[in-house]
This record gives sequence, structure tokens and C-alpha cells, in this order.
Amino acid sequence: MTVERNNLKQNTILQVADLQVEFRTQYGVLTAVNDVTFQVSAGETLAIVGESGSGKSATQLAILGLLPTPPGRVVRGRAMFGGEDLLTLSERRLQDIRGRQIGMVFQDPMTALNPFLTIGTQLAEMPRRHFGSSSHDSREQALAMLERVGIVPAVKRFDDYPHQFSGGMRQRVLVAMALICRPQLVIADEPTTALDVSIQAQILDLIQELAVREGTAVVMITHNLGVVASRCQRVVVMYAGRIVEMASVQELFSNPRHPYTRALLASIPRVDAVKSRLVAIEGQPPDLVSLPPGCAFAPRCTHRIARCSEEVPQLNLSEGGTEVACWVDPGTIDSENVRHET
Amino acid sequence: MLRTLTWFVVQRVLWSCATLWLVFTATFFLMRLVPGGPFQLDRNVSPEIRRNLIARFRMDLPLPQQYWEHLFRTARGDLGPSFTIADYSVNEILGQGFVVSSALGVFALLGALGLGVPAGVLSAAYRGRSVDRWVMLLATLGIAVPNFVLASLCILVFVFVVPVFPAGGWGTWRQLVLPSACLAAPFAAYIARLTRTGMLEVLGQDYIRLARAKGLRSSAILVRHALRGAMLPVVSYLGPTTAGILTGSLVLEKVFALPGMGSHFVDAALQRDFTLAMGAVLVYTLLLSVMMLIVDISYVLLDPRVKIGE
Repeated sequence: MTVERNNLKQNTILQVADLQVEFRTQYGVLTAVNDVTFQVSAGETLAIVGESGSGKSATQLAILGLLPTPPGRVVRGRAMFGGEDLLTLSERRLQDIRGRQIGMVFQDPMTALNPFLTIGTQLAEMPRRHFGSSSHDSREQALAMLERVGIVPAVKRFDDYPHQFSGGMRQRVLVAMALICRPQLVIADEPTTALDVSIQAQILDLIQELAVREGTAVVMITHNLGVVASRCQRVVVMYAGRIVEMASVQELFSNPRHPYTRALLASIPRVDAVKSRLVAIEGQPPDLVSLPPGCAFAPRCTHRIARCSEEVPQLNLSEGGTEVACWVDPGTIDSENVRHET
Repeated sequence: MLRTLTWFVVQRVLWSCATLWLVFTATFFLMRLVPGGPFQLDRNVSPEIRRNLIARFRMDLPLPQQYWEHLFRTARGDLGPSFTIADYSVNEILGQGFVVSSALGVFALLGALGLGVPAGVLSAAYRGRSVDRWVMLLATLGIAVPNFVLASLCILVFVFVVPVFPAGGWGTWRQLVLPSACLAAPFAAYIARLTRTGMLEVLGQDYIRLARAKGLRSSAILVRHALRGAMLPVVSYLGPTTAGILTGSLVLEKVFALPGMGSHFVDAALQRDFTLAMGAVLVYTLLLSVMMLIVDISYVLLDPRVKIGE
């Protein structure tokens, strides 16, 4: 066990610690990311799950130095990557790392590609920039990458513009861009939300397949628990800017601890369920500008105790290696309330 | 692609002919509706001379006949003799003036683009910082200061205080510097503002964030990824502006004593020089049509999503 842990530590690709991100808005300063700590190892796929506004995208943008500043600002924290703290690096050094060592797949393939440039230009400029490849070599690399993501024949599509591609094809191009320089880490921010269900699986498989082949670590940001179940090893659940639970996929689905995680799992519509009504989590997501003093989920939580609205719970190691931030002992939660047993 | 382009140009040329005819007709009748005529001279002339003059310019014919004669002559490319400048045809007068005005205009346009576009890009790249504020202050000044004030200032500084350029006249490139600079100033200012707005719009797009996530250098992002999209509003603005710039500026031509086209517009209208006014209006219309066509074609070249004829 200890040996295994040490090995894991050595292969850690990215280690984020105590990350705090603020946004200045017209309603006041909101803390989008609060005390977020997690790590990703080589070859591992980590999922970050949460609803809109839970801070999952802000976390990822902060790591890459792509937060819009202002209004965004990294208040504190570290993001160790290859012995360097990404949060303190100069913009020029970050430019060397982005695309080369950390690949990025964005959410909306319809707007992420530049409509004025051909697919080929947009892909080939990456090896040119990061490896200094000649225009001939970078073209060859781009063509090979297009073939690998299933855009065939690549030679015919190389000089096409984004508007000549379907959404799924564009997402393939984005995956190709994220992987063409063989990065050590790929961050995929809801890579399939804008796509048809039939295309979603293809894209996820593609990322998975290429990442496994290269031994790339993947951070998959999603609100789709289905994605998590089939393709990730570990899951980080975020709520209102904080990590509320961190567990292996098996543990999370078989034994969810945090009431929010449980509610989230219960809200997945089930084909085999007798009742056809969708289960929603009662109440509204919290206003990040004026968070309650205690646990942010407390107002919506059915297991709330007095302490919950007074003190913020910290992540604690619990059984099965799960880390959970909850004052209520997970063992006391009545499992009958959870419909989603696995 | 090439065939649709040719067809598109042919269509547009036909439309331009229709436009020119409409403008011709409107100008022809409007000029004659205005009280006064070309032969209401200040000095007294004998009735015979007067009659001869009227006959020479064929003003004694009935109006429809005048109209058709003038139209067919114009269609052949002959704008007729000038009413006020003796022994010169309108073609000669406008030809000479156009050379001066367009030389001035081309210099001014190149200057305005060369200054305005980089200034706008810089301003957008350093949005909210002091560079941005200075550029925008200068741009506001460039738009607000009237060109005769700027021209006087330029003459004061560069002719009298530091004598590097001649005060006016036509013939050498040195004489073109000051008037082109004064002509260019407001256009450079507009182009800087348009470029800045366009750049800010584009820089907020998702694809710029992707370009940054790809690790591209800031210069590559600004020039390769952002500038093209940002130039679209500038291109639309340039069409009619170029037509205006090439046909000369009355004020600057007066201040710098340049024999350009700008003064003909005003003089011809005031003196009821029917043929010269018609010529000036038609040249302007023709230029405008050509520029609009160039703008539309530029759009197709700049933005791959734009299809010809849609």
C-alpha cells in the first residue's frame, strides 16, 4: 500500500493545492474556487463533476493562466506541474507549456475554431510553434493527426474551413489540436455538451484511446455522471467552489458519502425506474456572492445538523479512501433516501 | 468560384449603369429646377452674343431633346464643354483635377491605414492601459479637429517654424506630404477606433481563448487569429470613404493651393455649370460603385463563410 502510494506520488503530473479564485462582479466579489486541492497522475483520468457555477471551469482556466483578469483573480494556491508552479510563471513561459505540455479541449466546437482560418492552418501552427517544425513537416504532422482522429481523407479536408465541418467533426479537430504535441496532461472542459448523444461517446472514446496510447493524464470536467462512470478512475465532486467529495469511481457510485453526491446520483433519470418523474435537488444553487457561513449545501441538505450552518466542513479521509467534506457522519445517512443503489 | 465571381461582377456593372443613369437624370433636372442659369452673367452682354452662347451650348433646344443629347453624349464618354471655363472640355478639367486629388487621396489612404490599423490593434491589445488611453485621445482629436485648423497648424509648424515642407502647390512629392497628412488624420482616427472595436469584439471570442490555450505567442494571436475578423468593419467603412477621399477635399485644396477636383464640385454648382457639375457627380457615383464592388469582393476574400451573391 505504501509502496503503491509512493509510486503514485512520483507519477503525479499535476498537483493543485489550496487554489482560491475570485471574480469581481457588479454585485460584489465572489469566490468561484475555494481551497481546491487535487492531483492527477500519469495515465489517470480524473473527473471533476459539478453543476454550472460550481467552479470546475474556473479551476481549469486558473491552472492554464487563462482566467479573464480582470474580473478574475487567483488569490492563492499552487499548481505544481513538472516542478514549476503554473500560477507564478510568466506569460511567456506559460505560452511554452500551453498546447505543448498541457492540451485543452473546449466545450463548444461551434465557436472554438477560428472561422477565418482553415482547419489545416489551425492545426499545423501548433507543431510549428512548439517544435519549430518546417511548414512541410508541420503539415505532415497535422495530416497524420487528422487521420488519427478519424477525419479522412485528411488531405481533402485539410484546406476546409470550420463552417464546412459538422459539430462532431469540429470536436474531433479540437481533440486533434489538444493532442498533436503529445502533452503530458489534457484538460477537457465538458467536451461533449454541445454534441448529439450519438457523437458524444465517439468523442469521449477518442480522447480516452489517444490518452491511453500516449500515457497522458486527463482531467475531464463534466456535469454528466454517465461520462464519469465509464471513463474515469477518480472523481472530484465540486459544489459552490469547494470540493465536497473525492473518491474512486467504484466508491463514488457504490457508496456515495456527501449528501450532494447522493442527490446528484439520485437525479440521474433511470430507464428502468417505475416512476417517470425526474428527481431534482430541492432548492437553488447558492449565490456565490453571499455564501452562507457554514456548508454551502446546508440549505438544500436533508441531513443538515446545527453545525452545518455555522462551520465549513473540511475534506476528511473516510472509509474506502474517499475524502468527504461533511459534518454528518456518512454512516448515519439513511440509505433508503437514496434511490440510486448500485 | 471564378464563374460565379465573373457573373457577380457583370451583374454589378449592369446595376451600376442603371444607378449612373438614375443619378444622371436626377442631376439633369435638379440643376435646371434651381433658379438662375449659366448665362445670367454679371456683366451686360448684347442680346446677340447671348443668343449665340445659348445656341452654342444647345440650350435653345426643347428640354427633352437636351436631355437625350446630353445623355447619349455622356454615354459615349464625352461630358461636353464646360459652361464657365472657356475652351476646356469637362473631360479635360476633371481629368487634370482627378490626377491631383487621387494622388493626394492614395497617399492619405495609405497613411490612414498604416497609422490607424496598428494604432487600433495596439489600443485593443492594451485595453484600459495608458497606451489605449493615449491612442483614443489622439483619435478623438483627429476626428474633432477640423482639417482647416489642422492644415493651418501644419503650415505654421512645418513651413515656418521648421521649414521642411513647402506650403503648397503641385508638382513634387514634398508638396503632397502636408496635405495628405491633414487629409489622412480624421480617417486614421476613425480607422483606429473601428479597428479597436473590431479587435475587442474578436478578442472576446472563444476561438481566441483556444488560440491562447494552444500556447501561441500574443503577436501571432493578434495578427493571425484576430486581425482578419476585426478588419471587416474597417473594410465596409473604407468603400464609401475611398470614393470621397479620391474625389478631393475642397478645404484642403484651397488651403494648400492644389488644382484638385474638390473645388470643381462647389464652383460648378454655384455657377450653374451644368456640364461640369454633371461630370463631377457622375465621376463620384462611378467611383462609389466601384468601391462598393471592391468591398463586397474583399468580404468574400476575408471571410470564408461569405458566399458571393448571397
